[in-house]
Amino acid sequence: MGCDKIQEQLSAYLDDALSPAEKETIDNHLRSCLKCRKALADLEITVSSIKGLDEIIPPPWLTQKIMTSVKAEAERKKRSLLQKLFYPLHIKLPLEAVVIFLVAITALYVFKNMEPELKTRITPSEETVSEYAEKGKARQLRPKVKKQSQSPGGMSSNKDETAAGSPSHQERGQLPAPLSEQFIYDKKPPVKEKYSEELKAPEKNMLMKSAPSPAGLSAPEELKQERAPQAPGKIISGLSEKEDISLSFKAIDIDSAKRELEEALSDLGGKLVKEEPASDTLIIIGELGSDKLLPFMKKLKTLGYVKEMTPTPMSDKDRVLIKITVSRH
Amino acid sequence: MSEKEKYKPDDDNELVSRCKRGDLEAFETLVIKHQKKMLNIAFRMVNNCEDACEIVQDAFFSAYKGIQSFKRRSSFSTWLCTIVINTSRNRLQQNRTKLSHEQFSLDDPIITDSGSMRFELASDCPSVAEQLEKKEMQDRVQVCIEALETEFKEVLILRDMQGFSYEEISDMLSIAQGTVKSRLFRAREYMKKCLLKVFRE
Repeated sequence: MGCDKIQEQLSAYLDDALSPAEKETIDNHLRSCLKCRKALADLEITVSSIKGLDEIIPPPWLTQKIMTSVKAEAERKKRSLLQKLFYPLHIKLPLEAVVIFLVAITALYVFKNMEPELKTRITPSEETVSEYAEKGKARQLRPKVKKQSQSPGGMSSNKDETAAGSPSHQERGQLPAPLSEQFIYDKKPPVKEKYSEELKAPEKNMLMKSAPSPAGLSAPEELKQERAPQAPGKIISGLSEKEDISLSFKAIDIDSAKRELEEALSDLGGKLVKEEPASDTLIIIGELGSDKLLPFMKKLKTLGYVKEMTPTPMSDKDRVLIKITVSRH
Repeated sequence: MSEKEKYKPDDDNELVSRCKRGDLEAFETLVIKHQKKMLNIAFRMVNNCEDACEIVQDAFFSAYKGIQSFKRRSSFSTWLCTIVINTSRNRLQQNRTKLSHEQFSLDDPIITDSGSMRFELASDCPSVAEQLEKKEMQDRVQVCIEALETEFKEVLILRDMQGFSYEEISDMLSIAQGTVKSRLFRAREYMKKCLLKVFRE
Protein backbone atom coordinates (compact mmCIF):
# COMPACT_ATOMS: atom_id res chain seq x y z
CA MET A 1 0.00 0.00 0.00
CA GLY A 2 1.38 3.40 -1.02
CA CYS A 3 1.94 6.28 1.37
CA ASP A 4 -0.98 8.22 -0.09
CA LYS A 5 -3.36 5.39 0.72
CA ILE A 6 -1.87 5.00 4.14
CA GLN A 7 -2.14 8.72 4.89
CA GLU A 8 -5.77 8.65 3.81
CA GLN A 9 -6.39 6.11 6.53
CA LEU A 10 -4.44 7.94 9.19
CA SER A 11 -7.40 10.08 10.18
CA ALA A 12 -9.50 7.03 10.92
CA TYR A 13 -6.46 5.31 12.41
CA LEU A 14 -6.22 8.14 14.89
CA ASP A 15 -9.88 7.70 15.83
CA ASP A 16 -9.46 3.98 16.15
CA ALA A 17 -12.19 3.59 13.57
CA LEU A 18 -10.44 0.94 11.46
CA SER A 19 -10.84 -2.82 11.33
CA PRO A 20 -8.04 -4.75 13.09
CA ALA A 21 -6.65 -5.83 9.71
CA GLU A 22 -6.51 -2.25 8.40
CA LYS A 23 -4.96 -1.13 11.63
CA GLU A 24 -2.28 -3.80 11.43
CA THR A 25 -1.42 -2.87 7.84
CA ILE A 26 -0.96 0.75 8.86
CA ASP A 27 1.08 -0.20 11.93
CA ASN A 28 3.37 -2.26 9.76
CA HIS A 29 3.75 0.56 7.25
CA LEU A 30 4.39 3.20 9.85
CA ARG A 31 7.25 1.15 11.28
CA SER A 32 9.09 1.36 8.02
CA CYS A 33 7.95 4.77 6.64
CA LEU A 34 9.29 7.94 8.18
CA LYS A 35 7.23 10.16 5.89
CA CYS A 36 4.01 8.60 7.01
CA ARG A 37 5.08 8.73 10.66
CA LYS A 38 5.66 12.48 10.13
CA ALA A 39 2.25 12.82 8.53
CA LEU A 40 0.66 11.07 11.46
CA ALA A 41 2.49 13.34 13.90
CA ASP A 42 1.31 16.43 12.04
CA LEU A 43 -2.20 15.13 12.05
CA GLU A 44 -2.06 14.49 15.76
CA ILE A 45 -0.88 18.05 16.37
CA THR A 46 -3.63 19.42 14.16
CA VAL A 47 -6.34 17.43 15.94
CA SER A 48 -4.99 18.31 19.36
CA SER A 49 -4.90 21.96 18.29
CA ILE A 50 -8.53 21.76 17.38
CA LYS A 51 -9.38 19.85 20.52
CA GLY A 52 -7.40 22.33 22.52
CA LEU A 53 -9.55 25.23 21.47
CA ASP A 54 -11.01 26.83 24.52
CA GLU A 55 -14.69 26.51 24.98
CA ILE A 56 -16.61 29.69 25.25
CA ILE A 57 -18.75 30.14 28.30
CA PRO A 58 -22.38 31.02 27.71
CA PRO A 59 -23.23 34.53 28.82
CA PRO A 60 -25.35 34.48 31.99
CA TRP A 61 -28.34 36.00 30.21
CA LEU A 62 -28.54 33.21 27.63
CA THR A 63 -30.63 30.83 29.74
CA GLN A 64 -32.93 33.65 30.73
CA LYS A 65 -33.30 34.77 27.14
CA ILE A 66 -34.05 31.26 25.95
CA MET A 67 -36.61 30.73 28.70
CA THR A 68 -38.28 34.07 28.04
CA SER A 69 -38.95 33.14 24.45
CA VAL A 70 -40.01 29.62 25.46
CA LYS A 71 -42.37 30.92 28.14
CA ALA A 72 -43.85 33.40 25.67
CA GLU A 73 -44.45 30.52 23.30
CA ALA A 74 -46.07 28.46 26.05
CA GLU A 75 -48.30 31.42 26.92
CA ARG A 76 -49.19 31.93 23.29
CA LYS A 77 -50.03 28.24 22.95
CA LYS A 78 -52.24 28.40 26.01
CA ARG A 79 -53.90 31.58 24.79
CA SER A 80 -54.44 30.22 21.33
CA LEU A 81 -55.99 27.15 22.92
CA LEU A 82 -58.35 29.38 24.88
CA GLN A 83 -59.00 31.40 21.76
CA LYS A 84 -59.83 28.25 19.91
CA LEU A 85 -62.33 27.44 22.61
CA PHE A 86 -63.89 30.83 23.15
CA TYR A 87 -62.86 33.40 20.61
CA PRO A 88 -62.11 31.80 17.31
CA LEU A 89 -63.71 34.05 14.77
CA HIS A 90 -63.42 31.46 12.06
CA ILE A 91 -65.48 29.08 14.19
CA LYS A 92 -67.66 31.65 15.90
CA LEU A 93 -69.30 33.05 12.81
CA PRO A 94 -70.49 29.76 11.37
CA LEU A 95 -71.40 28.71 14.90
CA GLU A 96 -73.61 31.76 15.28
CA ALA A 97 -75.18 31.09 11.93
CA VAL A 98 -75.86 27.49 12.89
CA VAL A 99 -77.31 28.51 16.26
CA ILE A 100 -79.61 31.08 14.65
CA PHE A 101 -80.71 28.52 12.12
CA LEU A 102 -81.42 25.98 14.87
CA VAL A 103 -83.38 28.53 16.89
CA ALA A 104 -85.42 29.38 13.81
CA ILE A 105 -86.11 25.71 13.11
CA THR A 106 -87.06 25.10 16.73
CA ALA A 107 -89.39 28.11 16.74
CA LEU A 108 -91.04 26.89 13.56
CA TYR A 109 -91.37 23.39 14.95
CA VAL A 110 -92.88 24.65 18.19
CA PHE A 111 -95.27 26.90 16.28
CA LYS A 112 -96.33 24.03 14.02
CA ASN A 113 -96.91 21.81 17.01
CA MET A 114 -98.86 24.47 18.87
CA GLU A 115 -101.18 25.21 15.99
CA PRO A 116 -103.37 22.11 16.29
CA GLU A 117 -103.65 22.73 20.01
CA LEU A 118 -104.87 26.22 19.37
CA LYS A 119 -107.34 24.83 16.94
CA THR A 120 -108.59 22.24 19.37
CA ARG A 121 -109.07 24.94 21.89
CA ILE A 122 -110.95 27.12 19.47
CA THR A 123 -113.02 24.31 18.03
CA PRO A 124 -115.18 23.61 21.06
CA SER A 125 -116.13 27.24 21.37
CA GLU A 126 -116.93 27.30 17.69
CA GLU A 127 -119.00 24.23 18.14
CA THR A 128 -120.72 25.83 21.06
CA VAL A 129 -121.46 28.83 18.95
CA SER A 130 -122.77 26.69 16.13
CA GLU A 131 -124.73 24.64 18.60
CA TYR A 132 -126.33 27.75 19.91
CA ALA A 133 -126.92 28.87 16.39
CA GLU A 134 -128.53 25.56 15.61
CA LYS A 135 -130.57 25.70 18.75
CA GLY A 136 -131.72 29.13 17.77
CA LYS A 137 -132.58 27.76 14.36
CA ALA A 138 -134.39 24.90 15.93
CA ARG A 139 -136.37 27.27 18.04
CA GLN A 140 -137.34 29.21 15.00
CA LEU A 141 -138.23 26.01 13.27
CA ARG A 142 -140.37 24.70 16.02
CA PRO A 143 -143.20 27.09 15.52
CA LYS A 144 -143.44 25.88 11.96
CA VAL A 145 -143.56 22.33 13.09
CA LYS A 146 -146.14 23.10 15.64
CA LYS A 147 -148.17 25.11 13.26
CA GLN A 148 -148.14 22.25 10.85
CA SER A 149 -148.89 19.63 13.38
CA GLN A 150 -152.22 20.97 14.33
CA SER A 151 -154.06 18.00 15.52
CA PRO A 152 -157.09 17.21 17.62
CA GLY A 153 -157.02 19.05 20.87
CA GLY A 154 -157.13 15.75 22.73
CA MET A 155 -153.45 15.32 22.15
CA SER A 156 -152.51 18.64 23.53
CA SER A 157 -153.02 18.03 27.17
CA ASN A 158 -150.95 14.93 26.94
CA LYS A 159 -148.14 16.77 25.27
CA ASP A 160 -148.33 19.47 27.84
CA GLU A 161 -147.64 17.01 30.51
CA THR A 162 -144.75 15.60 28.60
CA ALA A 163 -143.29 18.96 28.45
CA ALA A 164 -143.90 19.54 32.09
CA GLY A 165 -141.84 16.49 32.96
CA SER A 166 -138.99 17.33 30.67
CA PRO A 167 -135.90 19.32 31.49
CA SER A 168 -134.39 22.32 29.68
CA HIS A 169 -136.44 24.75 31.64
CA GLN A 170 -133.97 27.50 31.20
CA GLU A 171 -133.88 27.13 27.49
CA ARG A 172 -137.57 27.20 27.31
CA GLY A 173 -137.86 30.05 29.69
CA GLN A 174 -135.87 32.09 27.26
CA LEU A 175 -138.02 31.24 24.34
CA PRO A 176 -138.63 34.16 22.13
CA ALA A 177 -141.99 35.81 21.51
CA PRO A 178 -142.86 34.00 18.27
CA LEU A 179 -143.25 30.78 20.22
CA SER A 180 -145.89 32.18 22.40
CA GLU A 181 -147.56 33.55 19.31
CA GLN A 182 -147.59 30.11 17.86
CA PHE A 183 -149.12 28.84 21.02
CA ILE A 184 -152.21 30.72 20.16
CA TYR A 185 -152.82 28.40 17.29
CA ASP A 186 -151.66 25.25 18.81
CA LYS A 187 -150.89 24.14 22.27
CA LYS A 188 -149.83 20.68 21.19
CA PRO A 189 -146.06 21.06 20.70
CA PRO A 190 -144.81 19.47 23.85
CA VAL A 191 -141.79 21.39 24.79
CA LYS A 192 -142.70 24.99 24.69
CA GLU A 193 -146.20 25.07 25.65
CA LYS A 194 -145.86 24.98 29.34
CA TYR A 195 -143.39 27.78 29.34
CA SER A 196 -145.42 29.71 26.94
CA GLU A 197 -148.15 29.21 29.39
CA GLU A 198 -146.09 30.67 32.12
CA LEU A 199 -144.83 33.49 30.02
CA LYS A 200 -148.12 34.28 28.46
CA ALA A 201 -150.40 33.23 31.11
CA PRO A 202 -153.35 35.38 30.12
CA GLU A 203 -153.30 34.14 26.56
CA LYS A 204 -152.97 30.61 27.69
CA ASN A 205 -155.74 30.97 30.04
CA MET A 206 -157.84 32.28 27.30
CA LEU A 207 -157.03 29.31 25.19
CA MET A 208 -157.57 26.90 27.94
CA LYS A 209 -160.92 28.29 28.43
CA SER A 210 -161.80 27.92 24.83
CA ALA A 211 -160.25 24.48 24.46
CA PRO A 212 -162.18 21.48 25.58
CA SER A 213 -161.01 20.82 29.06
CA PRO A 214 -161.81 17.83 31.19
CA ALA A 215 -163.70 19.91 33.67
CA GLY A 216 -165.14 23.36 33.64
CA LEU A 217 -162.57 24.70 36.01
CA SER A 218 -161.53 28.24 36.35
CA ALA A 219 -158.28 29.33 34.70
CA PRO A 220 -155.97 28.99 37.68
CA GLU A 221 -157.37 25.63 38.51
CA GLU A 222 -156.92 24.53 34.94
CA LEU A 223 -153.25 25.49 35.11
CA LYS A 224 -152.80 23.53 38.23
CA GLN A 225 -154.48 20.61 36.67
CA GLU A 226 -152.33 20.79 33.62
CA ARG A 227 -149.26 20.70 35.72
CA ALA A 228 -150.56 17.83 37.66
CA PRO A 229 -149.90 14.42 36.14
CA GLN A 230 -152.68 13.08 34.02
CA ALA A 231 -153.25 9.75 32.50
CA PRO A 232 -152.00 9.96 28.95
CA GLY A 233 -153.38 6.58 28.13
CA LYS A 234 -156.69 8.15 27.57
CA ILE A 235 -155.39 10.06 24.66
CA ILE A 236 -152.80 7.86 22.95
CA SER A 237 -154.18 4.43 22.72
CA GLY A 238 -151.69 1.64 23.31
CA LEU A 239 -149.24 3.97 24.96
CA SER A 240 -149.19 3.82 28.65
CA GLU A 241 -146.26 6.13 29.00
CA LYS A 242 -145.11 9.43 27.62
CA GLU A 243 -142.25 9.54 25.11
CA ASP A 244 -138.80 9.46 26.60
CA ILE A 245 -137.23 11.29 23.76
CA SER A 246 -138.41 13.81 21.25
CA LEU A 247 -136.65 14.30 17.99
CA SER A 248 -136.98 16.57 15.03
CA PHE A 249 -136.02 14.87 11.83
CA LYS A 250 -135.73 16.60 8.51
CA ALA A 251 -135.88 14.69 5.26
CA ILE A 252 -136.41 15.49 1.63
CA ASP A 253 -139.10 12.92 1.21
CA ILE A 254 -141.28 12.21 4.21
CA ASP A 255 -142.52 8.85 3.00
CA SER A 256 -139.12 7.44 2.32
CA ALA A 257 -137.90 8.93 5.58
CA LYS A 258 -140.71 7.12 7.36
CA ARG A 259 -139.72 3.88 5.72
CA GLU A 260 -136.13 4.40 6.65
CA LEU A 261 -137.05 5.18 10.21
CA GLU A 262 -139.25 2.12 10.41
CA GLU A 263 -136.47 0.08 9.00
CA ALA A 264 -133.98 1.53 11.41
CA LEU A 265 -136.26 0.81 14.30
CA SER A 266 -136.91 -2.74 13.25
CA ASP A 267 -133.22 -3.29 12.55
CA LEU A 268 -132.46 -2.37 16.13
CA GLY A 269 -135.24 -4.52 17.54
CA GLY A 270 -137.68 -1.70 17.97
CA LYS A 271 -141.04 -1.06 16.37
CA LEU A 272 -143.26 1.68 15.14
CA VAL A 273 -145.90 2.37 17.68
CA LYS A 274 -147.83 5.18 16.17
CA GLU A 275 -147.72 7.64 13.35
CA GLU A 276 -149.59 10.83 12.86
CA PRO A 277 -149.50 12.10 9.33
CA ALA A 278 -150.08 15.75 8.51
CA SER A 279 -149.78 17.79 5.33
CA ASP A 280 -145.99 17.95 5.23
CA THR A 281 -145.11 16.69 8.68
CA LEU A 282 -145.21 13.26 10.15
CA ILE A 283 -145.01 12.41 13.79
CA ILE A 284 -143.75 8.95 14.49
CA ILE A 285 -143.67 7.35 17.85
CA GLY A 286 -141.37 4.42 18.03
CA GLU A 287 -140.42 2.00 20.73
CA LEU A 288 -136.87 0.86 21.16
CA GLY A 289 -134.65 -0.95 23.61
CA SER A 290 -132.92 1.65 25.70
CA ASP A 291 -129.57 0.09 24.92
CA LYS A 292 -130.26 0.57 21.24
CA LEU A 293 -130.96 4.24 21.61
CA LEU A 294 -127.49 5.48 20.81
CA PRO A 295 -127.02 3.32 17.70
CA PHE A 296 -130.47 4.49 16.57
CA MET A 297 -129.49 8.11 17.02
CA LYS A 298 -126.38 7.51 15.04
CA LYS A 299 -128.35 5.84 12.32
CA LEU A 300 -130.77 8.72 12.20
CA LYS A 301 -127.97 11.17 11.84
CA THR A 302 -126.78 9.29 8.79
CA LEU A 303 -130.23 9.47 7.29
CA GLY A 304 -130.78 13.15 7.62
CA TYR A 305 -130.72 16.21 9.78
CA VAL A 306 -131.63 15.35 13.33
CA LYS A 307 -132.23 17.68 16.19
CA GLU A 308 -132.67 16.17 19.54
CA MET A 309 -135.16 18.16 21.47
CA THR A 310 -135.02 16.34 24.73
CA PRO A 311 -131.73 14.98 25.90
CA THR A 312 -131.09 11.32 25.89
CA PRO A 313 -132.52 10.12 29.19
CA MET A 314 -130.49 7.92 31.40
CA SER A 315 -133.53 5.82 31.75
CA ASP A 316 -133.46 2.58 33.57
CA LYS A 317 -136.36 1.36 31.55
CA ASP A 318 -135.80 -1.49 29.16
CA ARG A 319 -137.62 0.21 26.35
CA VAL A 320 -138.02 3.83 25.52
CA LEU A 321 -140.54 5.71 23.46
CA ILE A 322 -139.22 8.02 20.81
CA LYS A 323 -141.24 10.75 19.25
CA ILE A 324 -139.89 11.76 15.89
CA THR A 325 -141.27 14.76 14.12
CA VAL A 326 -140.44 14.31 10.46
CA SER A 327 -140.60 17.45 8.35
CA ARG A 328 -139.61 18.30 4.87
CA HIS A 329 -136.13 19.61 4.51
CA MET B 1 -19.20 4.70 21.73
CA SER B 2 -20.79 1.31 21.40
CA GLU B 3 -24.28 0.61 20.13
CA LYS B 4 -25.40 -0.30 23.60
CA GLU B 5 -24.19 2.92 25.12
CA LYS B 6 -25.70 4.96 22.36
CA TYR B 7 -29.24 3.74 22.86
CA LYS B 8 -29.02 3.60 26.59
CA PRO B 9 -31.62 5.96 27.94
CA ASP B 10 -29.76 9.00 29.12
CA ASP B 11 -30.39 11.19 32.12
CA ASP B 12 -32.43 13.52 30.02
CA ASN B 13 -35.22 11.02 29.55
CA GLU B 14 -37.10 12.01 32.67
CA LEU B 15 -36.65 15.70 31.94
CA VAL B 16 -37.82 15.22 28.37
CA SER B 17 -40.91 13.40 29.61
CA ARG B 18 -41.70 16.28 31.93
CA CYS B 19 -41.15 18.75 29.09
CA LYS B 20 -43.61 16.83 26.96
CA ARG B 21 -46.16 17.37 29.71
CA GLY B 22 -45.46 21.10 29.54
CA ASP B 23 -43.06 21.37 32.48
CA LEU B 24 -41.07 24.52 31.84
CA GLU B 25 -38.75 23.96 34.78
CA ALA B 26 -37.64 20.66 33.28
CA PHE B 27 -36.95 22.42 30.03
CA GLU B 28 -34.93 25.06 31.82
CA THR B 29 -32.85 22.30 33.39
CA LEU B 30 -32.16 20.91 29.93
CA VAL B 31 -31.21 24.36 28.68
CA ILE B 32 -28.75 24.90 31.52
CA LYS B 33 -27.31 21.46 30.96
CA HIS B 34 -26.81 21.67 27.20
CA GLN B 35 -26.47 25.33 26.34
CA LYS B 36 -22.65 25.43 26.66
CA LYS B 37 -22.09 22.57 24.25
CA MET B 38 -24.63 23.98 21.80
CA LEU B 39 -23.19 27.46 22.04
CA ASN B 40 -19.70 26.14 21.28
CA ILE B 41 -20.85 24.19 18.27
CA ALA B 42 -22.71 27.24 16.98
CA PHE B 43 -19.80 29.52 17.72
CA ARG B 44 -17.33 27.32 15.81
CA MET B 45 -19.77 27.10 12.97
CA VAL B 46 -20.41 30.81 12.54
CA ASN B 47 -17.38 32.20 14.36
CA ASN B 48 -19.51 34.91 15.90
CA CYS B 49 -20.59 34.95 19.50
CA GLU B 50 -23.73 37.02 19.02
CA ASP B 51 -24.86 34.92 16.11
CA ALA B 52 -24.01 31.78 18.09
CA CYS B 53 -26.16 32.99 21.01
CA GLU B 54 -29.03 33.67 18.67
CA ILE B 55 -28.59 30.28 17.02
CA VAL B 56 -28.69 28.55 20.41
CA GLN B 57 -31.73 30.55 21.39
CA ASP B 58 -33.52 29.66 18.17
CA ALA B 59 -32.46 26.03 18.45
CA PHE B 60 -33.82 25.66 22.00
CA PHE B 61 -37.01 27.44 20.95
CA SER B 62 -37.41 25.00 18.05
CA ALA B 63 -36.65 22.11 20.40
CA TYR B 64 -39.35 23.26 22.81
CA LYS B 65 -41.89 23.59 20.03
CA GLY B 66 -40.93 20.22 18.57
CA ILE B 67 -40.41 18.30 21.81
CA GLN B 68 -43.51 16.19 21.09
CA SER B 69 -41.91 15.01 17.85
CA PHE B 70 -38.73 13.88 19.64
CA LYS B 71 -39.03 10.08 19.47
CA ARG B 72 -35.96 9.25 21.59
CA ARG B 73 -34.32 7.31 18.78
CA SER B 74 -31.19 9.21 19.77
CA SER B 75 -30.24 11.08 22.91
CA PHE B 76 -31.72 14.50 23.57
CA SER B 77 -28.22 15.96 23.21
CA THR B 78 -27.77 14.45 19.72
CA TRP B 79 -31.21 15.64 18.69
CA LEU B 80 -30.44 19.12 19.97
CA CYS B 81 -27.07 19.13 18.10
CA THR B 82 -28.85 18.36 14.86
CA ILE B 83 -31.09 21.37 15.43
CA VAL B 84 -28.11 23.58 16.24
CA ILE B 85 -26.19 22.42 13.16
CA ASN B 86 -29.20 23.03 10.93
CA THR B 87 -29.84 26.44 12.46
CA SER B 88 -26.17 27.31 12.02
CA ARG B 89 -26.22 26.23 8.38
CA ASN B 90 -29.24 28.48 7.79
CA ARG B 91 -27.49 31.34 9.51
CA LEU B 92 -24.36 30.86 7.41
CA GLN B 93 -26.48 30.79 4.30
CA GLN B 94 -28.21 34.00 5.37
CA ASN B 95 -24.91 35.68 6.16
CA ARG B 96 -23.49 34.67 2.81
CA THR B 97 -26.54 36.11 1.05
CA LYS B 98 -26.28 39.22 3.14
CA LEU B 99 -22.59 39.64 2.36
CA SER B 100 -23.14 39.24 -1.33
CA HIS B 101 -25.73 42.03 -1.19
CA GLU B 102 -23.83 44.41 1.05
CA GLN B 103 -20.71 46.14 -0.13
CA PHE B 104 -19.43 46.83 3.31
CA SER B 105 -20.44 45.86 6.79
CA LEU B 106 -18.97 46.73 10.14
CA ASP B 107 -19.25 43.05 10.97
CA ASP B 108 -17.09 42.04 8.05
CA PRO B 109 -13.83 40.39 9.00
CA ILE B 110 -10.87 42.73 8.96
CA ILE B 111 -8.32 41.46 6.58
CA THR B 112 -4.88 41.59 8.12
CA ASP B 113 -1.54 40.29 6.99
CA SER B 114 -2.01 37.12 8.91
CA GLY B 115 -5.53 36.58 7.63
CA SER B 116 -8.82 37.91 8.87
CA MET B 117 -10.08 38.55 12.37
CA ARG B 118 -13.41 39.42 13.86
CA PHE B 119 -14.40 41.95 16.46
CA GLU B 120 -16.59 39.58 18.38
CA LEU B 121 -13.91 37.21 19.55
CA ALA B 122 -12.61 39.78 21.93
CA SER B 123 -15.85 41.49 22.71
CA ASP B 124 -18.98 39.80 24.11
CA CYS B 125 -17.78 36.29 24.65
CA PRO B 126 -15.14 36.17 27.27
CA SER B 127 -12.08 34.58 25.88
CA VAL B 128 -10.48 32.18 28.28
CA ALA B 129 -7.15 32.52 26.66
CA GLU B 130 -4.92 34.05 29.19
CA GLN B 131 -1.68 33.79 27.46
CA LEU B 132 -1.24 35.90 24.39
CA GLU B 133 0.59 33.07 22.63
CA LYS B 134 -2.16 30.63 23.32
CA LYS B 135 -4.75 33.11 22.23
CA GLU B 136 -2.87 33.80 19.05
CA MET B 137 -2.58 30.14 18.34
CA GLN B 138 -6.30 29.64 18.94
CA ASP B 139 -7.17 32.54 16.70
CA ARG B 140 -5.17 30.96 13.93
CA VAL B 141 -6.85 27.62 14.34
CA GLN B 142 -10.21 29.37 14.27
CA VAL B 143 -9.21 31.18 11.09
CA CYS B 144 -8.41 27.84 9.48
CA ILE B 145 -11.70 26.34 10.61
CA GLU B 146 -13.51 29.39 9.31
CA ALA B 147 -12.00 28.77 5.89
CA LEU B 148 -13.49 25.28 5.72
CA GLU B 149 -16.59 24.49 3.71
CA THR B 150 -19.63 24.00 5.94
CA GLU B 151 -19.91 20.27 5.24
CA PHE B 152 -16.29 19.72 6.39
CA LYS B 153 -16.49 22.21 9.19
CA GLU B 154 -19.44 20.55 10.85
CA VAL B 155 -17.83 17.12 10.78
CA LEU B 156 -14.64 18.52 12.26
CA ILE B 157 -16.49 20.39 15.00
CA LEU B 158 -18.65 17.41 15.91
CA ARG B 159 -15.77 14.95 15.94
CA ASP B 160 -12.71 16.82 17.16
CA MET B 161 -14.34 19.42 19.37
CA GLN B 162 -17.43 17.66 20.65
CA GLY B 163 -16.20 14.09 20.45
CA PHE B 164 -19.22 12.53 18.80
CA SER B 165 -18.76 9.11 17.24
CA TYR B 166 -18.82 8.54 13.50
CA GLU B 167 -22.14 6.87 13.95
CA GLU B 168 -23.67 9.78 15.83
CA ILE B 169 -22.36 12.25 13.30
CA SER B 170 -23.74 10.06 10.55
CA ASP B 171 -27.15 10.20 12.26
CA MET B 172 -27.03 13.92 12.92
CA LEU B 173 -26.05 14.92 9.44
CA SER B 174 -27.94 12.15 7.72
CA ILE B 175 -24.89 10.96 5.84
CA ALA B 176 -23.17 7.56 5.60
CA GLN B 177 -20.40 6.73 8.06
CA GLY B 178 -18.01 6.36 5.13
CA THR B 179 -18.82 9.92 4.16
CA VAL B 180 -18.15 11.04 7.72
CA LYS B 181 -14.79 9.31 7.59
CA SER B 182 -13.75 10.79 4.25
CA ARG B 183 -15.03 14.28 5.10
CA LEU B 184 -13.18 14.16 8.36
CA PHE B 185 -9.97 13.08 6.60
CA ARG B 186 -10.24 15.94 4.13
CA ALA B 187 -11.11 18.45 6.86
CA ARG B 188 -8.12 17.40 8.93
CA GLU B 189 -5.80 17.41 5.95
CA TYR B 190 -6.88 20.93 5.17
CA MET B 191 -6.45 21.99 8.78
CA LYS B 192 -2.98 20.42 8.87
CA LYS B 193 -1.88 22.29 5.79
CA CYS B 194 -3.49 25.51 6.98
CA LEU B 195 -1.91 25.33 10.40
CA LEU B 196 1.52 24.37 9.02
CA LYS B 197 1.31 27.38 6.78
CA VAL B 198 0.27 29.63 9.62
CA PHE B 199 2.98 28.31 11.94
CA ARG B 200 5.61 28.67 9.30
CA GLU B 201 4.65 32.29 8.85
